[in-house]
Amino acid sequence: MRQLTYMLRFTRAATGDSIVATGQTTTTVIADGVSTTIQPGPGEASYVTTLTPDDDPSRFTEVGTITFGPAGAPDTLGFRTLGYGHLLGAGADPGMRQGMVLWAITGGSGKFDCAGGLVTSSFVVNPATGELRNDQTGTILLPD
Amino acid sequence: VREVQYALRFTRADGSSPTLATGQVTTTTIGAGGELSTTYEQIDGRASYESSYEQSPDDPNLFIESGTVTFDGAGGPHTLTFKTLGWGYLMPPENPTTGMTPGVVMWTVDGGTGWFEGATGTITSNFRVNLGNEALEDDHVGTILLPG
Repeated sequence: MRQLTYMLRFTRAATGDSIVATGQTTTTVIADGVSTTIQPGPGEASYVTTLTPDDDPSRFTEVGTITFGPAGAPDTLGFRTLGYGHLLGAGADPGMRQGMVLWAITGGSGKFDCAGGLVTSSFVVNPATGELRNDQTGTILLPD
Repeated sequence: VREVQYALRFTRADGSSPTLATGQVTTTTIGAGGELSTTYEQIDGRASYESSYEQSPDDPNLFIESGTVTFDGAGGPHTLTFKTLGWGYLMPPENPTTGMTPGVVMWTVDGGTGWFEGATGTITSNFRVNLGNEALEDDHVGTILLPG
């Protein structure tokens, strides 16, 4: 079984816009504190998702598809929430709230045919505008 | 409030060894045809974490966990304390190629010391563990909020 991993920051400017990422270099320095910088790289990815609110407004579930390559490219991963996603307290910037969600990969197409695996999502979102920053790590498992 | 982030891969050789990370450069490349690859380069700096976990009595693949992440640096200890949000998930079967079983967990940060005095925030953990010898590879993203 082959294993691929990724670390990508997806962003959306506002509700209705696409949720997109580029390739990236993420540098975490530990020296007199901790800091991280992200340098965009070539390539693109995007995802679409359908959220289902829970009776508890701080929880949600979702299903969706991640596409690696331009929109409409054939290389995709399907996903669904594990347990619940959680919308938490205020983030550092005005109007933003922190949140996290775990996704199980439910299959794929193209290069990701028969994929399994897991994705973590650490996000901040402005519920009023839809502005989103979503830092994901993925572990993708593929047949040999 | 100010935000500090980290993206680190923690590794452990076996269950009797510490779980360690260094500073890190993570490069994810998406090729023109959707090819995906990621490299992990170690740089200066060191962090570690310790945790204890408890399996769900109803499902051995669900667990809760709490612990401490420690960053090396002058004036330390620089620590973050965390506990699970919801459940952590172990997702068998193991990968027959690597012997590792994947899993994921979300942690909320409920305090800290040193650089992280007064910290809150979130940590996601995307891990692979060998259930025989407890070797571990664990990709963290921390989004930490600090006063001031």
